[in-house]
Amino acid sequence: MWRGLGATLGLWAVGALMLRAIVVPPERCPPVTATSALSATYAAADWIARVQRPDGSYLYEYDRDRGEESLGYNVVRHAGVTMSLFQLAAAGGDGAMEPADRGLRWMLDRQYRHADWSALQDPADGSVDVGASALMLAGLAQRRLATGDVQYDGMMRALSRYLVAMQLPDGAFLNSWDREANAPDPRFRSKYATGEAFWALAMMHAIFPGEGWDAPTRKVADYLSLHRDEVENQKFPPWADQWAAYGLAEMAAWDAATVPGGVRLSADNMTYARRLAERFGFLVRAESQRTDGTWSKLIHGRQARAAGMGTWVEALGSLYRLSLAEPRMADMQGKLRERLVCSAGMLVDRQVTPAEAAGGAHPVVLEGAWFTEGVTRMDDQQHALSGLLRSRLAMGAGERTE
Amino acid sequence: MSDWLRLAVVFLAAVNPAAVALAAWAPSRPRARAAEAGVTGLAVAAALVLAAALGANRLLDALDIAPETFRIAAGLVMLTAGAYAVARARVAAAAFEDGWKGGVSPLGLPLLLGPAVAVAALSYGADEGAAKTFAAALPALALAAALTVARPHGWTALADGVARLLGAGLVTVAAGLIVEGVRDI
Repeated sequence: MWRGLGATLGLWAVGALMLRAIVVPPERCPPVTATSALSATYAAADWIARVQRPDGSYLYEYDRDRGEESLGYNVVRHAGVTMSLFQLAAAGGDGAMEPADRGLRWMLDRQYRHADWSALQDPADGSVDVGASALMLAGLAQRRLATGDVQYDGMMRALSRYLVAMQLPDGAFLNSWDREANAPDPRFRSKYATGEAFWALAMMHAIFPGEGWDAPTRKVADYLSLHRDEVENQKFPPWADQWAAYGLAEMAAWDAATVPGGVRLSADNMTYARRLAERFGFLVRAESQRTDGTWSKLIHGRQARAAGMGTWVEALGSLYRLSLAEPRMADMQGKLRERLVCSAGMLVDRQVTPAEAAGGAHPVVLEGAWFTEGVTRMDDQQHALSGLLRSRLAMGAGERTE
Repeated sequence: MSDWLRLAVVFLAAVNPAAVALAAWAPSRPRARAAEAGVTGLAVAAALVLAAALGANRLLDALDIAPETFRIAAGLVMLTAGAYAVARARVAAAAFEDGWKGGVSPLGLPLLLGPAVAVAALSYGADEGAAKTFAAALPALALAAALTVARPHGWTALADGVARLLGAGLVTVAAGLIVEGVRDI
């Protein structure tokens, strides 16, 4: 008996060790508080402000091993980085408004105008894409929340009219305006731009209720909830779209008096929100099992870059807000908080600290940034900043940073 | 189907009484000694299932594993056990010994409490609570223990078929558990 029992337990131990090594390594969630998350947010914002050029553009990408900047630029990411600074300003963050306004001026100088609308144009190739304008609009909405300043209300409406002009009858958005045909280019949709436009328009209704921005917002919410994954051939639905999560959370906060029947989100929207929560939760669980070690990289792949993980934190932060506002999502609140805090902890843990930066050749472009395989890109800081800011609510902090 | 009944079916597939019986049946065993082994085996397996279900959350916490993630691991173990049962119509075990010693091992462990039952007890114990998990596992364990004693004549072919069917059922349950583990938050 004993020999057989010993052999059985021995075999089980080997099996358990293999499971541990391959399938269920520990999920590491570094400790984080509302204060440390805010410090990391400020450090990211400081990085953005330090690398901003006099014309308002930002350092796009930096390779710390080579000590080199890359030459490219991306207008959508410019709008996104600027928007994240306005988010910080809206949360009461000191010092974010000035670099954000410089970034805004860069965008105001690059407007493409047609009929009654305006859109952000890429200076490199002249393209007029939805994503850039949607994020510019989102940034202006955050700026309005931060300041109450109405000087850009006309621009917000003009950008919104561009977005509506690009919307298809099914609620999706085409990606680009064809300047030769003077019409939306019917060939391309973007998996990013639709969600970005969704959130921006949802904020438009919150700021300007009664102007009709809720109708296109609802249309895109239904497209995202019911059709997008199939129409756009998403292989592993739902597409992990943090912009959609932002938009749903924004809709949930709409004044009930401003929507027909007081219904903010449909049953389909809620089902979609729950599926998004499940997807982002899984992504965080999987990421928390990854380390920088060789074995982990071999079995589980390399750690996600901050531009990726930051979007998960943004999404979970938005869905957590939704779970606070929506009884139909309340049962997910505990798990959402757990995943959100875990992912925020990982972000804080992976940020370059002042001490680490001091050991590098160019501390100015190291401190406060997130590097993956030696490279950081401006949207690493953007998404991490936005995500950390949004995660603080789950750590007991209020919406504002004071 | 109630939660308890669903869980009882899962444990029926995980314990696989037909496969346990096929592994334990031997023509020359005196029934009294077989009964002694059966009772001991049931007590050992039930106690371990209860311990696993009661300690599941603490164990997973200590290992830093979310219950949702553990479902994936549990599903993989159950999938393997199910596939083995489909192929062999038996559960893997050492040579059988009668009396209480045989009841402890191999009957209690690993015939009644095989790897699939152990991970199921941990996973469902963490998700559904210890009481419900234990109550759902007990009938399957009792049935398996009883079948090792009863040894009905001429039932080998039937047991073989049932064991493979339950193995297929376990594969299905395991696939569902893996999907749940991936899809849950």
